[in-house]
Amino acid sequence: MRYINPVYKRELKQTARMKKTLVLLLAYNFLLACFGLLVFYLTFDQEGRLNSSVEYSAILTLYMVMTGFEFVMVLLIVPASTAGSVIGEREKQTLDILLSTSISPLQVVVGKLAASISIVILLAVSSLPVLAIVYSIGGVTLFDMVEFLLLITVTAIYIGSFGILFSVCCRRATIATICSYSAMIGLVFVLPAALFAVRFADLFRQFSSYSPAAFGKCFAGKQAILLLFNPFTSFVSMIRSQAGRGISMMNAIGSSGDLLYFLSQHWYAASLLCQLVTAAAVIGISAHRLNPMSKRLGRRR
Amino acid sequence: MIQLCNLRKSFGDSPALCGLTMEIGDGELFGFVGPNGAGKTTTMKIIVGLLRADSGDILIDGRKLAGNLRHFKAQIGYVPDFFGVYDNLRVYEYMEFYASLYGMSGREARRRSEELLGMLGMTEWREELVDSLSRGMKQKLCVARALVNDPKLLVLDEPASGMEPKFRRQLRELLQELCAEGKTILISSHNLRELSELCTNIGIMDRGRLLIQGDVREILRQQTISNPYILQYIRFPEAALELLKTHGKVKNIAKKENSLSFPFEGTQEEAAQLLTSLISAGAEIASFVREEGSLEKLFLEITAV
Repeated sequence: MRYINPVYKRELKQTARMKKTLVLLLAYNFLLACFGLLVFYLTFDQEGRLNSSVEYSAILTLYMVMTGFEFVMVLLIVPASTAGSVIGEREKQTLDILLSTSISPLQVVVGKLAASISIVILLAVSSLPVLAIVYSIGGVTLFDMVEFLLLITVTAIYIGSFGILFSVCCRRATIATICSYSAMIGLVFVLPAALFAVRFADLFRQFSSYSPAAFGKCFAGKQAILLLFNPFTSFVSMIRSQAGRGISMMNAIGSSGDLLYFLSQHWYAASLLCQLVTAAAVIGISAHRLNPMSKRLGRRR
Repeated sequence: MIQLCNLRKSFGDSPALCGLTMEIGDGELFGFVGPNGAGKTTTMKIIVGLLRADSGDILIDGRKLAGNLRHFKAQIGYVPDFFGVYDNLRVYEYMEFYASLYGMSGREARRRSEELLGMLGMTEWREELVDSLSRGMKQKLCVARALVNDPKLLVLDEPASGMEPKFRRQLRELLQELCAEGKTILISSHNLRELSELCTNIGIMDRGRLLIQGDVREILRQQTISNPYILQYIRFPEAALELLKTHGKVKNIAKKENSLSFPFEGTQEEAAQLLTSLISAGAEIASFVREEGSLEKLFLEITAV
């Protein structure tokens, strides 16, 4: 029989029986559908409906807005769902029993993360029919949607791994949740904002007034390599290849040397790989922290 | 055979174990006794791999626990002093989950779970949600769960606290049965009377040190020898009392209603001679026995030092 992580299997069983899961699934898809239909209505004006002409750039805008909405929802849901996972075991006093069995701390951490991510993937997959509004009209291929699902999955693993780490390290769920959201905000927003701010002040002085050229160049420079760890840049690179948006940002990154030019051409794959490697390292640290027998300084009772 | 060699563990500045050394033989039902904070739970957690000792070794069958933890964990069952359960899981699912943690496949896990639920008389509860069970039932389930991997060593930290008498008796019988099967059981409890009836061996701990260890019956026998005699009488004339006071091996006679209590340093034969003399002096005696040793008394004596 195929091996399924027992912690993952149990978590899924428990989650599937919770009313909260059903409500989340319904609310998420309802919101997404309302949002999609609203954008759909606003995008196709009266004239378009009368003469049957289709503006494909408008469809791509609709696709971009809906995937962006889903991306943000993942960023909001994952820290909360992962931050409480190991702490929940500790609070229910089941963690010691779990760790006294043959299962390894790594299996516990992976099982917990996989269960949290599964809910996010379930949300993303369940929303595919809504995204199919765009697919049915055209302009977006099946491969694009698969690419998007992959991005959502990797982002969930990446952000979730930090949630799990804080869940292992913190004693209180509230603190772990705050730390997880802080990490998410740091990685997704503060990192590019800091890079942008540092360069912006400098470039603004050179150009003496605002110009699109100055704005675009804010992401230029060797330090832009740090953006590989930024899920938002991964999203922008995906949208660039799928809908031709966000080109100036990616071009600015690519203008900072041969390596960054190469990376900017394969940003989607390179950034997902970087994020997966980081997530693996964070999961490893979490498992080490969870192991009662591991040596470390400053361990609390 | 489990050997704890010079185990030390501190939490911050407060030492929990101060060079604990002890042995638990195969097939022993070993009772761990000590006041709160003596280091019992810490020792148990170190044995099951939930805490790392600052120094010292644990040897199981001559092999070090550290480095072979995964192997030994498969042979250890642990019941902590609390009983955490999961929401939204049925009793049989709870059991099957733990069976799967030991690598049992679906069918095997189901068979083992049913077997254990039957053994603990919980079959009729198998469809119930775990969190809806009473405290006593949860504890029983916790014991069943600890047996799911058919462990060679069972570590039970206060397993019967809060259990009703019927469950306690059932647990006692189960532990004796498991011990007879050759399993080694390490149990801590505050119910010393129960522990003295149940265990083959005991160890009394205080402030991270083992104060006494050995066969329960032998320890109690030794304690009995040093205990005073209790003499209950119907009639005890002045002549008999005088005889008792002047006897060279009788000291500090304490009188209570129709009984006398006194330490006696002589042999059993000398005690029999004394009894005959007292009867000859006109005493009508209902009973004349040495006060029985009890674990509770021994515990209080030792830990009061």
